[in-house]
Amino acid sequence: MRKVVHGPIYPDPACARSKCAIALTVLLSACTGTIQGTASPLGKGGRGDNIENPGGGGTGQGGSGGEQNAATACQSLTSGPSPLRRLTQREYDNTVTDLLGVRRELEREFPQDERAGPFYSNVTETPGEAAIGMYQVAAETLAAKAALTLWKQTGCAATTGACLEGWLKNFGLRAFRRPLEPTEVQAYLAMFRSGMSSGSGEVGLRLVVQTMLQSPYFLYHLESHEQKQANAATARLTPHALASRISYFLWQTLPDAELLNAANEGRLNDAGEVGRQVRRLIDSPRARETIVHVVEQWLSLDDLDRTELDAMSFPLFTGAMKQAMRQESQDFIAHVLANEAGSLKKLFAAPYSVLNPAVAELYGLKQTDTSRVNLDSKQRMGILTHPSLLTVTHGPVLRGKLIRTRLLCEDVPPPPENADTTLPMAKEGQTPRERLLAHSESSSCRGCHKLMDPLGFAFDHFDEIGRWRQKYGSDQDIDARGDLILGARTLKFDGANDLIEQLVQTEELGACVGKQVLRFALARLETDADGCAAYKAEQSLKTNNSNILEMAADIAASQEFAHVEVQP
Amino acid sequence: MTTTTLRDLIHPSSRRRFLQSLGASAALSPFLPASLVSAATSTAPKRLIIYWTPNGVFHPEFKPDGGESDFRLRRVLQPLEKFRSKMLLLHNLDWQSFFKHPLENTHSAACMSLTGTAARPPAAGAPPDAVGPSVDQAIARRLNRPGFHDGLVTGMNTYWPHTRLYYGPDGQNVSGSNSAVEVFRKLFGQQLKPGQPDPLRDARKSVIDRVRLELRAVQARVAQQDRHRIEAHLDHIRTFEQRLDASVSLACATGAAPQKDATSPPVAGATMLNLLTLALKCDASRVASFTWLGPGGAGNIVYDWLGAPERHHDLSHGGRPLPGQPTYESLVKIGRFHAEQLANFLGALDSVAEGERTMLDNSVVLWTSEHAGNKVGAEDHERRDVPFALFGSAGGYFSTGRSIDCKGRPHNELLLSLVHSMGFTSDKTFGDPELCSGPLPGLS
Repeated sequence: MRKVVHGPIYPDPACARSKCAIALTVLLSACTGTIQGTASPLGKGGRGDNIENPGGGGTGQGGSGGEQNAATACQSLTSGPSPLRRLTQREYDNTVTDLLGVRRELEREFPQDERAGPFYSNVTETPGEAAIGMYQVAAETLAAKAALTLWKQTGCAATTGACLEGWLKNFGLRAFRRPLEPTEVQAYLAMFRSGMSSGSGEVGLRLVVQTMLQSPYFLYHLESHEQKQANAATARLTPHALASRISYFLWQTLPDAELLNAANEGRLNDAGEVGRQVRRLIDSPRARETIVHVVEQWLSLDDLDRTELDAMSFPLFTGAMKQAMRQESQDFIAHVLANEAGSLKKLFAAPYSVLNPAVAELYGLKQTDTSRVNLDSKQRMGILTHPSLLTVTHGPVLRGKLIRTRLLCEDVPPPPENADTTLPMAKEGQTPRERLLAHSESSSCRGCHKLMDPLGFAFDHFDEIGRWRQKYGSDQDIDARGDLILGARTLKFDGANDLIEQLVQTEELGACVGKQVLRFALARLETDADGCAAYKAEQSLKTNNSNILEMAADIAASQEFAHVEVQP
Repeated sequence: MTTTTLRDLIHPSSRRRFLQSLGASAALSPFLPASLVSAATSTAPKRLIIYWTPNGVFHPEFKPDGGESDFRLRRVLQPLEKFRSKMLLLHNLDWQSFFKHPLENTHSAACMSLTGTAARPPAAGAPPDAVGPSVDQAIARRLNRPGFHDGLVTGMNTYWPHTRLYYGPDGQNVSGSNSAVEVFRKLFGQQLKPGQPDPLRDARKSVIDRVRLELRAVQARVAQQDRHRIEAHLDHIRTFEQRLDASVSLACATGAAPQKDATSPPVAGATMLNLLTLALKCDASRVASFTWLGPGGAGNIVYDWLGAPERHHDLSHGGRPLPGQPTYESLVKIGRFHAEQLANFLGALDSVAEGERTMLDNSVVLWTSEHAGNKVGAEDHERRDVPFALFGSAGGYFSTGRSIDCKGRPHNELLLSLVHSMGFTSDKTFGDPELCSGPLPGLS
């Protein structure tokens, strides 16, 4: 057995530049078709695991499978389970802001959320003491900030709790995203009175708010469903659970008054009304803001904050530049959503970007403001050629891997245990690409790397921070040609733009994007029972001119989304 | 002193003012400990502190010359010269658990560092975890002081998902805090002078009562596989409650809490070590750890403030540089920096008199790392002759002022020695029992 010098312990891109870069060598078996494990509704295949596409089959399998599965999958209504989920940091912050009218002080970060696939969702791990402690501190701070204003809003005199009951029911409805039980109303009124007796109405209210913000009904998504039909495998969510689900998907916050009213009045049992509410939400800037975050997480742009490169080699890559890079991508995504009808194709193949002065430097341009700028059509198009993304990946292996895992939903497992993950020393006159060809010489590396690396080579005209280069160093020619292998098909490409133009035409991309947005919507990985939902998402993209917003709306308004799996 | 209202107590910035009103103005020095009554007694408690640095050590300048008692410190350890009579340098201690339980030779094997156990087979892509407790957590549990902060885990970048060090009784990973603000709040933020009316505490108690009730209701209704997650949530709430009842006095920590976490690693590190000193002094904690930057990838930082331009991790794999070469000097600088930080910490402990001894004498500080580091003839991630250095005698348990060759014995024996040194002398083994039939010979 060959000795492993560096195993796959370096998911952080920092090490992709050193010899451990090659730790992304992957299992031959997975890349030639062995299905890795079974689908799990949870975020991960196991604790700390980074399987991104469980059950997704090996890299290079190609084909969405959607067509074949759809007929069977959509014959009857099926939906996946609803595991316990704790609010993400973003959900928490949006929710308290909308609930209390005050913001959490952001200088103190909550512990990092875990992920389900590419998306933040606290769906697997137990909450740490740090998280629960932060909830306590944040609840106290927020309640103290908000109490006086809230107390004035109640219009109550501080004599008894009786006046407060109406306010409490409404506040509880929003905090817990469901009506309070009568016993809960009494318990919280008693709490109010005890606080009031030691101070004022404001103190009583503060105690109530402080408690509710630490309540599991606030901190977790606890989805109730209606009585299921006999022998049914699914049950419909209660109107309030559905309202909450739709709202957290599209707005990442608690349902607004109109949506809560619809739930209160039982109108959300009507598909037409659900459609109207979804339309109202999706047409708002808040939905577009959510989708910007979806795209960022999906393409791992938020990893940019944690990307480290050698400061000596890349003096331009400062903290400010990281921000500028992310800003460009956020501005661009927002622009596509607002002005290009949310077109997925434009996201990848727009002939322009939205440049700010700092990032323009990487394009070799001078900018004094932030504006839309046409790109050199021989060099760049769309988000895959943004410096942000090219820096997060900063090399052919990770660039290729991103396309395989995030855009084609294929599984790229870590290298086999006995793989030699040390790159041979560069030989005199060898280009970086030639050096990486070591991957194709080793039988344990070849299976996956022949599928990944060439996709990355397409971007070899971009250096580690996304600047265009004509040559490696001063004199080595760049070969950006390669094969995109999709199952039995092989698409030849020359350079990034050529690869991107072919990629956006593939069925595989649409199927994967449908699956990814569905994962965000459900905040978990898909199971077999979600097959029909995934298929419909893919179809929605096709029939709506690849409009991501419309696809999100279709998911939110679907029957599958309104139901959960129940034990028969 | 002005009257303190509930509002003042609940609002953190007011709370800081309140703290300042208790003590002298402490704007310059974040922690100005008040004189302590309890620390001066002869029955001072024993303490264990883990000082953990990543990427091994630079052997050519770490290993002393000379013999057991006439050893001469080389450049890396020279900052610790003034503690030579209180140090015990151990050589050729091996991670035999690593050789007995083959594990991929990566930084992830650090799960054995403080546990000496086998590792659970990891799921694909996940790091391995130890199957038993780390020595600090094991001792913390034995101390059995609910509501206190024994087993406190702190550091810089303590969270690195692929290298884990600290484990509870069943091998569950214990995460730490990098934030001095957070650690201060945890240690002292909830306490008042004994007997002082405490509306904040009362409010918290009633909140906790209600939250616990609701958590139990939720636990009964969620799916079976999610129940343990609510149980963990309940456990944390219980811990908070115990802390509310515990008697650590805020009066011990007069002075302003750190208001903001420093971004500069040396400043943030020193701040945290100051805070640990305070925690030990106030007896808020008797077992604590400080991880100086997480191992592996997070240990791949550049110590640019030392004028060492290379990444530490890469340096530690970067061959065997010769004296005078830039990378040689960088390794010396980084090693000395770790030693200097430790020396400052030891100095603070040593300045607290406890009866005839000092707090350092009553403590034992273990400095160790995840592998041997740069060493002639060693392979990458060498698990033989891993650095282990003790400071302080744990109240006379360790016979210090020596540099000892342990001749390849398992490091489990040292871990057991630490357990014994803290007073639990009836323990027969630690970690994998086959690798430990008693404490390391010749230390007492």
